[in-house]
Amino acid sequence: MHRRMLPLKLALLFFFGVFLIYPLAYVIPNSASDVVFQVLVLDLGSTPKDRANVLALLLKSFPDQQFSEKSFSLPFTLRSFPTEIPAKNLAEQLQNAGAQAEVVSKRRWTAVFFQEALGFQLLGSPSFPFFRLQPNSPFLWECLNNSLLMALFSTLITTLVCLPLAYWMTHYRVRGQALLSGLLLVPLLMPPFVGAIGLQRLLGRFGLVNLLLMKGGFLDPGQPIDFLGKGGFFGVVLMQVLHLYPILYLNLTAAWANIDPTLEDAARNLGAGEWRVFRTITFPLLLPGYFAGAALVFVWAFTDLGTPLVFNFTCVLPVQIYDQVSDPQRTNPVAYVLVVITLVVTLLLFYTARWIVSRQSYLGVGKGAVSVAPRPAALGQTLLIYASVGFLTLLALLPLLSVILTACARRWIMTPLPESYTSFYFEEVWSNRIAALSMRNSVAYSVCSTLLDVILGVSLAWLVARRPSWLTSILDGLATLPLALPGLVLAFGYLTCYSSLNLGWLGSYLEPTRNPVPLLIVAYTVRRLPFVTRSALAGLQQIPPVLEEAAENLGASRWRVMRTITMPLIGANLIAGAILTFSFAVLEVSDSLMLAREQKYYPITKAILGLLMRPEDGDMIASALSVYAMAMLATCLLFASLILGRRMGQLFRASS
Amino acid sequence: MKHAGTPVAIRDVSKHFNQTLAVDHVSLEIAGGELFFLLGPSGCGKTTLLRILAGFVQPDQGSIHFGAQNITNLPPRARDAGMVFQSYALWPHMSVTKNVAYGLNVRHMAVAEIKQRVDQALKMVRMEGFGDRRPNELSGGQQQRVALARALVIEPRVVLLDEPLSNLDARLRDEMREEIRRLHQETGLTMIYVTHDQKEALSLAARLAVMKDGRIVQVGTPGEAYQRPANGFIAGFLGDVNLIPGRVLQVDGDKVHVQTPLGKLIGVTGSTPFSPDRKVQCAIRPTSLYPGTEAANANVIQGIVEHTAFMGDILQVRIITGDGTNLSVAALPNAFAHFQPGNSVTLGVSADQVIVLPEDTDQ
Repeated sequence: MHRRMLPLKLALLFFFGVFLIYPLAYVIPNSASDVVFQVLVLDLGSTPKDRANVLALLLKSFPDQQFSEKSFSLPFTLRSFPTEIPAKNLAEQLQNAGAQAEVVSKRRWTAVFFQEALGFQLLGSPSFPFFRLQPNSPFLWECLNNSLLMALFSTLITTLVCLPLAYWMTHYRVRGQALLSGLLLVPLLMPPFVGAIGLQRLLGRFGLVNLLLMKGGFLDPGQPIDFLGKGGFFGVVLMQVLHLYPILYLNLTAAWANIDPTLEDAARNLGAGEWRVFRTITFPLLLPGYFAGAALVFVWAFTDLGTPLVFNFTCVLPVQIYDQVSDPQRTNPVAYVLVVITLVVTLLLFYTARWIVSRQSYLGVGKGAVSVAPRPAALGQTLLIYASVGFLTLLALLPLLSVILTACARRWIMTPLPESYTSFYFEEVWSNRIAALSMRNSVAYSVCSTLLDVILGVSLAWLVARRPSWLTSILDGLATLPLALPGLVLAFGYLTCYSSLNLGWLGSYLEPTRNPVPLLIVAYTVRRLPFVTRSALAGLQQIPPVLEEAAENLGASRWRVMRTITMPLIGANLIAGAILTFSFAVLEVSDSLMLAREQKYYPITKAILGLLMRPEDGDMIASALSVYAMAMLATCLLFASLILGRRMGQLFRASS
Repeated sequence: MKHAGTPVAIRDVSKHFNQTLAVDHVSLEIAGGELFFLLGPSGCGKTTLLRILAGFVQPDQGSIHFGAQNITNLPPRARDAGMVFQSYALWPHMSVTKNVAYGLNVRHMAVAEIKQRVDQALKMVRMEGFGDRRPNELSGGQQQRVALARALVIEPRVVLLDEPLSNLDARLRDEMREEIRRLHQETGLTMIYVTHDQKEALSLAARLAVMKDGRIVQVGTPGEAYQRPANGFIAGFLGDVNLIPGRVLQVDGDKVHVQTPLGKLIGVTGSTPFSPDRKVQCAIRPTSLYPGTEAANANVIQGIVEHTAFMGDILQVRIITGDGTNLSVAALPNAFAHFQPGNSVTLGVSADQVIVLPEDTDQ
């Protein structure tokens, strides 16, 4: 009976192997090794005439080397080339001259690339502490520094924002709580990439806020406040915080709601004051859930490609990686190093968070443990909560509003609000080749990837729920791996490893430089697979196996059972999951930017970036396109939330 | 750790939750060092009363006194009333030692003394050697003992126990009951224990208060409450009882003559005086009915055995009397021969085993 599942398991394994393991296995070694192509001469020639030809050829090709027939010990390595083609040419020449030669590829392990990127030298210094670190590549060090700082700031600010919010929402009952909870998820609607365009209009040197302040006389016209700070650093951080706080919020509320209030009561009973209770009891119990959410936020901010690009803040790792991949076959090895660094940081954080959460299986130790019962909020508290949520949501929406304004603006230079409005750009999106094509592309790619996700995800979830085994566990682990993989890393992997394969007819489908579409679709699929699998799994686990067994008992085939029992029961979950998958694929940034290099293949996000560069009205038409994209996203989210209701939050939590 | 316990006075305490009156004008005087029980069904307000004592709930009116001090307005942390929670509330991120030492740490005790006290406390609950374990590595009974140690180690004025045994299985419960009795004797602390299990209350309490709908309905020793319940509810709550409705015929000193469907019964009253013609009910425990009639028995009841159930230590018998009343009789197993289904039997019960109670108005 279990044997029949084997083809399915093998198919899934094959999929993961080719599209997940192989790119990683390609990228990681390339950061620490070098492949050279050596021309090996096996025989100088069978006849003296041949031998003379070969020698003459060698003398001609390498005039500065002494070649005589006696000085050879065969086989010998004639020359090493970094790429295959020149090596093949030389070998061919030798063979035409009569020798026996072949091309051998060798992998040389070296730490050179790491040293080049991250190495440093210890130099003397006249003053305390009498030494200083001189990095080999100060620029890359600065990029790494910036990325880490950006992620750190984003995480810290998000924490500060979410802690009080989470406390209020778990401990108090306010009227309209469902509305508030919904509002807090709004920022997920708006990818920071798009909002960044709007933010510059708001907080830029001659943006809305500065201009208003100048008009009001608070500010000297020559000295606008640089809100976005340091070339856009704080602009990026702000956008990231505004986009990511719902994730941390969801994790914090789940963790807090699970804390048994008698644990805190017991501490008070033994004499502890409120601060001590928080410090010694509440916070340690919150830590695992918090850490899981914070790790997600940090990783996202660390690997964010879109937002820094829009702000033109290039000194961060993701942008550097992006810049390096202009010619995938000749990628600078340092790019591999950067990708590996990104991967290491991400995996480290992700699995540490998982480990910490798993250690906390001690929650609910005693029978009869309860969770927090919210108290009704007093008027003052209600107002405070509404004000905070409202303010935060407004902040999150401002960039979005700004984008909408920009899309309607005919002329908006150096004035707080547009001078004149037009609907021209909304129409131009359809006539502009890049824009219109990109919308069609995005929808097509996303539909395909969603279908693939549903098929793979449901199969996986079914295997995990109903046919657990060691193989299934491996598959499950592989399916969750993409959560820990930044899109950047996967896209880089696809770009490099599939460009270097010579697959003949298959190559025309897989090679990203020729046709990125299949790989784009696969990239979207792989990145979203964990969500669909989890959502399907959650649904399946709620169906007791006896329901399916009863159907089988009455004679239904496995397929019939799935069709008439399983799918209807998990249907709602699945549809909602599929809708969400579709909407996130449409607005996917990292993979789209990296893989789609030709205009005719551009998805929406890449088109937005491209259009932004257009002089004069670039950001208007880019905004118009963004508005269409967000309208699509909003509609999808609306449908999904109608179907899922309050269970929406579960899909975004890190630990579930 | 033996020292005199602090007396506790609860004076006219009431508490509303929304529209419901959870605690209704409760007054109690508990002596120092007493093991006092609050007994009642779910929702009777006993846990609320306990949480008022602990300070987690503020009463709407009334006052609480520990000894001479009025603690009504003190926050929980200042009351020195160690509490053992129903779910134990052991902190999962701390070891057993750290859990037990918590209260002492808060009181800024010296490290060496804390260690000594914690070791002593663990020894007292027979958990020495478990100091480094985590709560999730302990069984239910073990967690229970750690929770006790944690509350006792601070040498509180009062110990509050909130249904501490309700999450344990039956055999463990019996064991732990003995442990709690022993701890009480060793420490001499005032302990206020809340439960819905009448066996616990009857076996452990020095005195108990039965609560219903937020009110105290009877206070007394277990013996008094069991043998002289104030009304039908208490009688039924504390154990199996046959309640037979009737009407008072005459009062003869401490004896009351009652006309019942089973015939004329002579019984005794609790505290309530009765006048003739009053509607009453007679409470007879299943263990008070004997087969056969001896001269000492004042009351005779005839009936037919409907069925018997062998429970191991007793034989539970169901009797139907002439007028259709069901009687429950608990006999010793060797009386098996008497109680064959279908047999006609004569039962006797002495007058002081028939308690005449007021009619239940709101049973």
